[in-house]
This record gives sequence, C-alpha cells and structure tokens, in this order.
Amino acid sequence: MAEFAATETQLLTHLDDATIFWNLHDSGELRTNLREALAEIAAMTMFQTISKTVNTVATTRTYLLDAGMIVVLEVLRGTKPLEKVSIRELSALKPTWIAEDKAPTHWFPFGLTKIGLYPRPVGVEALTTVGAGLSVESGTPLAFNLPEESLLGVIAYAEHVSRFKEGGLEFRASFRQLQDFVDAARVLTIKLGTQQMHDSYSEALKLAESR
Amino acid sequence: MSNFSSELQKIANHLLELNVSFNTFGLWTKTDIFDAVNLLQSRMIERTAAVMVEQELTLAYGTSVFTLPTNVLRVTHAFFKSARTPVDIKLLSVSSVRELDSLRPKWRDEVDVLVPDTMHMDNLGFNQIEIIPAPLEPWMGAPAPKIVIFGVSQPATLIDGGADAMEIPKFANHWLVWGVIGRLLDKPGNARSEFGAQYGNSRFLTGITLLRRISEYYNIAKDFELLDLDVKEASAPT
Repeated sequence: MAEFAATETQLLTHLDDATIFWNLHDSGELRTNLREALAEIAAMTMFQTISKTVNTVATTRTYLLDAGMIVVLEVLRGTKPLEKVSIRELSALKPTWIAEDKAPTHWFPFGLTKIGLYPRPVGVEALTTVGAGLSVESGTPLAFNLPEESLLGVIAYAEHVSRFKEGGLEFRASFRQLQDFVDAARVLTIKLGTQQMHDSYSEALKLAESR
Repeated sequence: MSNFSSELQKIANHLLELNVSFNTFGLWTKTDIFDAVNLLQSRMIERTAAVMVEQELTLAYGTSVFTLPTNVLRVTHAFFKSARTPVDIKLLSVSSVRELDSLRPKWRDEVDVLVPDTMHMDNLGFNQIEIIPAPLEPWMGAPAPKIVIFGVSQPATLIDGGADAMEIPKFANHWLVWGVIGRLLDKPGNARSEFGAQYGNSRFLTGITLLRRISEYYNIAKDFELLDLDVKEASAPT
C-alpha cells in the first residue's frame, strides 16, 4: 500500500512551479490525477482482484455490478462457482431459459456493468462476484493498493496528465513520462499474464498519436 | 455509474478554469460541456456495448412492426414469448430485407399462429423492429404475447444541475472526460487548441479500444458484433 499524501508530495517534486499551477484552485487535483493513473493501470493490467456481493431479487435476471469492478471472472453461490455461458449458448441448450425461475446455476456477462443469471432467482440471496477491479483504497491516512514496482510508473502518468494545462512544449515533453508508465505497466502485465490488454493499449495509443 | 458533475472539477483543472462554473474566460458554457458528454457517452457505449439493457414489450396480434423503448440503442438478442401454457420461446434470428427477399420471398405476407422466428430493422421507422411471421391470435381473446429484448443501452441525457448519472463503467470515466476536453478545445475561436483537441480525442479513442479488447478477451460481447471503431473525425477548420 502507498499513501496518497506521500505520493502527491513525490509527484509535486516532478512538477515545476508547483504553487502556481497545481493545488491552487482544487486541493484535490493531484489526487484526482493519481486516481486516473491507478484506473488506467488497473484496466490495462488487471492487477487488482476484488470480490463483491450481489444480492439477488426474485424474478430479476440482470444485476448491476459494483462500481469498482472492471471485469467479472467468477460468480460464486456460497463456495460453489456458477457456470459461465453466453446468451446464445443458453438459447441453444435451454430454449425456454428466459422463462425459468429457480436457484441460479449459470451466469452470463451483460455488458461490462452487469451480469445475468440463469435461471432467474426465486428469492433473495447473496452471490459473490470475483474479478479484476480498481485499486483498493483504505486506511488513515488514505492509502492505495499497487505493486511497489509500478509506483513510479503511476506517478509518471499523473505527471503527464498534470502537465496538460501547461500546454505547448512542456506538455509535449511529458510524453516521455507517458512512455515510462506504459513500460511500467508492461512489466506488470508480464508478471500477471495479461499482455494482450497492454499490447492493445500500446497499439491504440500509437495509432491515436499518429492521427 | 457515477455522476458527471463530480468530473467537472477535473475538466476545469485541465482547462485552467477557476472553478466549475466555467466563466473564468467565457470560452465555454455548460451547454458545450453537457452536449459533448451526451454525444460521447452514447458513442462510447454504441461502439463497445459496455452497457446493456433488458426490456419486455407486449405485442399486438396481426401486427409485425413494433417500436423499441427509447433506452435501447440496438438490439443484440430478441426472444418471442407466447402467452400460451406451456410457454413458447424462440430466439429470433437477425436478418435483413435483402436477405429475406432472396431467401424467403413471401415473408411480407406471412402471418401465423406459430412462433415468429426472424426479425429485422431495415427500412423501418426510427427505432422499430419487424418480426416474421406476424403473430396471429391463436384463439379469440387470447392474451397478448411478448418480446424480450436484450440490447445496447441508449444512455439517458445528462442534465446540468439535474440527472447526471453516467452509465459507462467507472474505470472508463476518465476516457470520456478526455473526449469532452478534446471537444471543448475544438471549439472555434479563442478556445481552440488543435493539439489539445487531438490529444483529448486520441485518449477517448484509446479508451474505446481498450474497452473493446476487454469485451473480446473476456468474452463479454461473444454473441454479437461490436460496431466498427475506425471512424475518423475531421477537426473543425482553423
């Protein structure tokens, strides 16, 4: 865990004219940019595993996921995992599935913000969703979870977006920091086996920069 | 799944605005900002299918064309659900007028007590679907059948000072915010910054790419095609 306050101080040392440009009108500006960096690395590497409860409602098929969830990998009923299927597979294997109500045995992704259950639950029950999520924040003083080797990369990203308002050459020079972040994320994805996300991100970033 | 008003401070910071009223330099209005976010949130969802909705419509016998609810941007799956017991349920195949004309020439006249099997959305009025064959009343006074639709969400319009809950996943908020900043910096006049506008737009598009990869890699949008991403937008003339 790294503390926000200490990380903000470290970030400020990387920025010029700290008292003029940053923290002047919005004391939370650097923290906002750090949170953006944490969201970016979480979506790119899926480093954070979280588990959240979803409470079922009778005859309701789809459920909103916790806001901190990026992608659900597993849904548990007690300790037993439900089977993951797609809507088309369900329709092929169980043609009347949309009208069946019973204790759920299967789940399906319903966009990135919801999951669906089959059969539709008949009552209230607490299911557990396990997946990749945003960095967990906790403690006093407030700290965030991040593999230690990625901290400088996250600070580099926050520095890059903080420099946006400087404009001109100062901001253009900060693409070096963005590349530092991309490199740091790359190391993490190799460790976690999620290189596909990183490769897509790097390609998209290059494509976007070339436009 | 968070409120757009909580993102306004971030936009103000990046644009060197004194506060979220955006009246420091008179370059942008809240209308500019909310128009941009309403446009871009729909676009992000349309291209990534990140947000889905389920809707149930009651059908009328003898009618084949139905209007979708306004919160459905496009249909990914549709099921006919009869009023009979035991219930008949059928996943409708998605077709086109061209395909139906060549493979099922008499489809326009088809009316049947049996279960419809196909749907299309071509050459119809705004936000409508047609199911084939049109369901026929199986007996006098039969209860109406239903159609259950799964589709990509058309997000509610965000309003300054009113309802402003974004529907995109929270981890995608900052990509949408960068898209909005790009739009604001593309406004003709003193507000214009070509490089800033391009940067904002590129971050927005990178976000869309990553959302699509997450969907593909984790089999989120396994059953249907995501809309094509490669639409280049022209910047306003300098």
